[in-house]
Amino acid sequence: MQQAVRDGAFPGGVALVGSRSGILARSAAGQLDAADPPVPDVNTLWDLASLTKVVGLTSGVLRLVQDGRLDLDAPVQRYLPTWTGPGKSVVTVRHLLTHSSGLPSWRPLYKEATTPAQARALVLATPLDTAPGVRMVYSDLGAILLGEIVTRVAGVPFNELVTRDVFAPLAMRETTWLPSPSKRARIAPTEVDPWRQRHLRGEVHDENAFALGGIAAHAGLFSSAADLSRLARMYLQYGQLDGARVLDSVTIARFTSRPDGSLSHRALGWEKPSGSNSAGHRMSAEAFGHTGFTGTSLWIDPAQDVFVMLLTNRVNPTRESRRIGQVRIAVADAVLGLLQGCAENAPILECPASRRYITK
Amino acid sequence: MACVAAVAALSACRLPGQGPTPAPLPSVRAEEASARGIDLVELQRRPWTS
Repeated sequence: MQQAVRDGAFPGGVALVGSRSGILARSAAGQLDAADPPVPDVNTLWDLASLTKVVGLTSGVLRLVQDGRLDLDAPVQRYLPTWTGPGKSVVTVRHLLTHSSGLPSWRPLYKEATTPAQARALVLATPLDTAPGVRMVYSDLGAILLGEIVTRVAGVPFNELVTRDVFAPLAMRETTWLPSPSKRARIAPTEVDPWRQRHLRGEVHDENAFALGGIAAHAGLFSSAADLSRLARMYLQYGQLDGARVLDSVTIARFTSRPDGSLSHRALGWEKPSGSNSAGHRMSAEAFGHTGFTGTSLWIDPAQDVFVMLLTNRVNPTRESRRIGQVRIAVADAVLGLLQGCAENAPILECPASRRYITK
Repeated sequence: MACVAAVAALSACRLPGQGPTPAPLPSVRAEEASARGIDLVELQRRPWTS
């Protein structure tokens, strides 16, 4: 971690490793900002960026699916009848979760819209640019659309559903969109934003999430390592924590397994280890995780009873640094290597990842 | 009693701009980790933590 700071991968970061029963190890390095000396800790609040898609949005979708209120294979138009246009009638909720709806990845809502309502309307009006179910294109627009579906089905805004039914039962009291200014001193600053022309701290880094009013399904959540460890431990316990059941174990298995005939290394909302992504090389086939543009990542491996979390503000002061990718892999491999009984820095071929967990 | 109340009140506070104190994180006990074959000292020592 210190080396990553010295290499300029990020100014500050926290790594947290745990199992279903608690924390195994933690590490913090650097400082939140050049002008902010305190070392980050497990209570530092980070802009999660696209971790919002799994921590928030996917959790909400999972709740509705387990309750039988949302059908993964139903057409999106069942829930949003006005979402029309060429090809859209065959797009399903599952397509949105697996980024295979045919929607483009992104559009500059923040340049096109002057109000959150306009930004939302632009998302709904965006045409497909690929046939549904043919190709995986990681799509922020698909995630925003899915948030609209959750809101419609739940009868309350998707962020309220997730806060009420997931974050509150898990006592994740620090996990929120639009964090209170009273917490500003604990929030890691992100970019000196050329568009907003200010150094961001406590407002969402993602420009489109900002254009949507700060509460968006694809980005906008802020949380701490301490809070996210509770979500990770709940997943490691197949849906429960401290005696409270939050999510259904069978539905979790549906969401975190690689689907047959998958177009990519994606489950439902969650990514799966691919051998070349941020999971590194020692996660089991049961593992699932995600990354966030601001420098965040979380991987959860039920087969090895471990989660590996890395929260950084690598976009401070600029998004240009891309070294975080190597750091994510190095941290995951180092931690899992030890759990698998490998010598320090043992190459994967000398200490195969499957040696330990495959016998469990 | 007043001192006890004052200490309790202080411990629930943080500096301005930091919000209330979050609950501490539970740590896995060394014996429990050892039973899984995990050496916590080694885990903390490895380069990812330094």
